Amino acid sequence: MSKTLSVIAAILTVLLYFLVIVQFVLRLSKTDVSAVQSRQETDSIMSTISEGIFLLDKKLSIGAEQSSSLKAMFKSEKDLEGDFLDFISHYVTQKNVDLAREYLALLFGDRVKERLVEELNPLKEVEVSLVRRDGSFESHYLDFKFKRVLVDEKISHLLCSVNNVTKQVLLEQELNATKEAQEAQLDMLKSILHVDANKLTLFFDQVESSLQEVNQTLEVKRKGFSDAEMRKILNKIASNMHKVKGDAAALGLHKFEFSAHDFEDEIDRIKKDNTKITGKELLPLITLLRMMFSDLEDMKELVNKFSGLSDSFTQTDSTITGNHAAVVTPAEKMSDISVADTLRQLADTVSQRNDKLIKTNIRGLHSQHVPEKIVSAVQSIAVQFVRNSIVHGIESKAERQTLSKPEYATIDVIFIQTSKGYLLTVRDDGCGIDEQAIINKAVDQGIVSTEKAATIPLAKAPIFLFYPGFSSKDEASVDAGRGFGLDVVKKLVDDMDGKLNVTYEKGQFCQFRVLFSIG
Amino acid sequence: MRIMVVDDSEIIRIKIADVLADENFEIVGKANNGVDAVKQFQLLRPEIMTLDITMPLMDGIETIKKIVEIDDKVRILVVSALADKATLLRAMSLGAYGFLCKPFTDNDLAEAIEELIEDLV
Repeated sequence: MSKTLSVIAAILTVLLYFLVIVQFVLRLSKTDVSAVQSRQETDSIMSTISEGIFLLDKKLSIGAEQSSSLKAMFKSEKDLEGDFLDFISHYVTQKNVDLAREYLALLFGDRVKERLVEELNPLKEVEVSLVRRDGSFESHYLDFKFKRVLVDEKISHLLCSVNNVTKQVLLEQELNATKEAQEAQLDMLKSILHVDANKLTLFFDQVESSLQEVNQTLEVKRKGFSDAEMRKILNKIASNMHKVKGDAAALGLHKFEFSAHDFEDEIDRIKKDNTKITGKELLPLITLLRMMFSDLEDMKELVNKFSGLSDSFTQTDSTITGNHAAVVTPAEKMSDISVADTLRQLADTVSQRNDKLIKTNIRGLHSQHVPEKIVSAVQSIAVQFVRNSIVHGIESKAERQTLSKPEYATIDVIFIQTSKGYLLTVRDDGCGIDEQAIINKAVDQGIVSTEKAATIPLAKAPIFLFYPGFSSKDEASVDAGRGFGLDVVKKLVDDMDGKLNVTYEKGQFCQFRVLFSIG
Repeated sequence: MRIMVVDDSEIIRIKIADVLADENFEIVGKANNGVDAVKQFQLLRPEIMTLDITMPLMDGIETIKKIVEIDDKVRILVVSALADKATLLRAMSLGAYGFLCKPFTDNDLAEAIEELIEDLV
């Protein structure tokens, strides 16, 4: 009996062992399968992903596990291996390699925060030289990103991902260049619109001549010139450029200002970097000069294109209302212009009433330019002169045409401060003064006897104009001819201790001047 | 938290001090050059320091070296007008904990300091 039991027990034990072993083997193969599956999944990822991926250990060796695209990125037939810095030194500058060494060391150290140092990555969008199959070089931009791999909260590896960002970088560069060019053009345009056309033309002339001077200085054959002489030449050129810079700055023409500044910087550098200057060191200056000439031409062209537009915005604003064209300068527009305004309105009215075509040019009569003490007198006097000009001085439309004079007559009213006092000038391009007619009228009006009249020199005839009641017009009109006008002027001038003067040329012009003394 | 401000521009020193005062830091010292900074650090031993990299007499990099020699636990925030990676990397490698580029807003500074001391209790 016990024998049979022992045998059964033995068989059962063996069976049990068998079962356990079978289970074990089964389990092993299941694990194997999932491991294989896992491996397959990883392989699929690594072979498809477009980023280059690999691990770096603390010795900075490239790990064996890599994405397939990595070797393609470096145009290599086989997987990358060995020391990472050594590998990368074939593709980027030595400086970048050194910086990378420091950067990776920082990343492996745990003192510094990863996020913080990210900005200092020298291999971010780094330029890389790749050799083509035919041996020629191709320039690409690669972006390397490094991330700490933590195992049990300790840094064990760095995960590196590489992307080819050539397209993006080149596009950005192009965009920036275009933006810069556009801004420069806009700058030029803004300057043109703001700057008086006269000033611009003057500036162009001066810049042109300065640049020409520099050009000539650079072109002179300088064999055998001493270093001291060369430096003297450089200083002369620098001073030319300094002037250009100042002029450009004054007009807000920034492109020129900066170009001139760059030129000055270059001169400084040449002086500093060379112990002996012979002539060939000046070569970069010639390039800069050419650029400035070309910029000058561009600007002139722009000005020409917009000269019509620019004229109407900067130099003169010709508003023609009826018979009267007023020439207004921007400076005047911006301030309080009482006297000038009054005169313009007056010219408007009077020219219309008398059917004359007038263009007025009024300068210096903003209220802040005219001292308060005399502003009222100035206005009254100017009013008189302008009125008389239009009525007596300016010829009719038909007459002016016959005389081949400009259709619109010009009346200039200028008020300036001189060393002797304030000077008011009113000048018209009308018929001037007819001396004989005045003398005749004076006789007619009984101001002077015929006999006396004969003795008066013609040049003195204008004096009668200022006599009270004198008028060379037969009928008084609203505007003039009443005879009260110039005598008022004379009185005002006398009251202010001023001086009155008239100059004219018969058939050409007539000019009245009043000097108000200071104080 | 005891902090020292080192910068050769008085305006920047005042600006930094103002921001720090708001954040309840105790400003224990100011210096306008590296030599002075090291001397004061030796005496005052602040926990935190803002340091301008481009200063006369002793440049910022040298200063960092000397200061870390005295106490390597100090948290240095490098403030730099030039954004050149090489210098900043150098500074970080030598022991700086963070950096800030000029021109910076008060907010930028406050954030940088916060990050600097995040893990200090």
